[in-house]
Amino acid sequence: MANTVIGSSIVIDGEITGDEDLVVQGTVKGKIQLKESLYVESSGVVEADIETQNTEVSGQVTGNITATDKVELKSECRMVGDIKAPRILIADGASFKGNVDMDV
Amino acid sequence: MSEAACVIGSGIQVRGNLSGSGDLIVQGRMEGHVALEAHVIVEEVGSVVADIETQELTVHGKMTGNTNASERISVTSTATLVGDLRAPRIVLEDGARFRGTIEMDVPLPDDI
Repeated sequence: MANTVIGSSIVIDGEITGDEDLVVQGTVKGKIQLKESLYVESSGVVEADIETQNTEVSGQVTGNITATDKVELKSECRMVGDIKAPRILIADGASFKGNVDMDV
Repeated sequence: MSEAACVIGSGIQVRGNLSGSGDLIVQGRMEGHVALEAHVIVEEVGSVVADIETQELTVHGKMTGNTNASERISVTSTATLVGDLRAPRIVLEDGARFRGTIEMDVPLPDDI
């Protein structure tokens, strides 16, 4: 379990940066920049450009994701935006619209 | 870990507006504006540069900014706080460092 949790009743409008894991159950608008992993849980809504090492989306994301390692779209997620990462996984049932760039 | 709705860990910086309901624990850095109908706790390692509107605020760490609390503000012995405080109940512990004004909404006697 990560140290930092944005709970389901919380709305952040702005910028989140840091070097530890972040779990989003609420709403984040703006920008997220992390050296570790981002978990957007099923109740989470992110309208932001995301730069991380790993991103795991089970909720809703609108924005572009750039990851240095891996992006995983889980089966119940909704994602609109471009993804750039060396490893990208899209599970059966995920809704996704956007570009995928794996640096091939 | 507690039941807090939102925890900002020590490696995280948040800049912007934070609103909603549920308790907030700041161990990292928060800049901007906080509006929460709950309890805001700034831990010893936390640092906050923000105006805060909340029900209850407890400061153990460093904070700069004005606070308007509907219930209570506690500035504990490890805290350093610069800003104006406004709440019906305000506690300033021995050892706390504070600069600013305090307003407790006290009804003044008629003869002054």
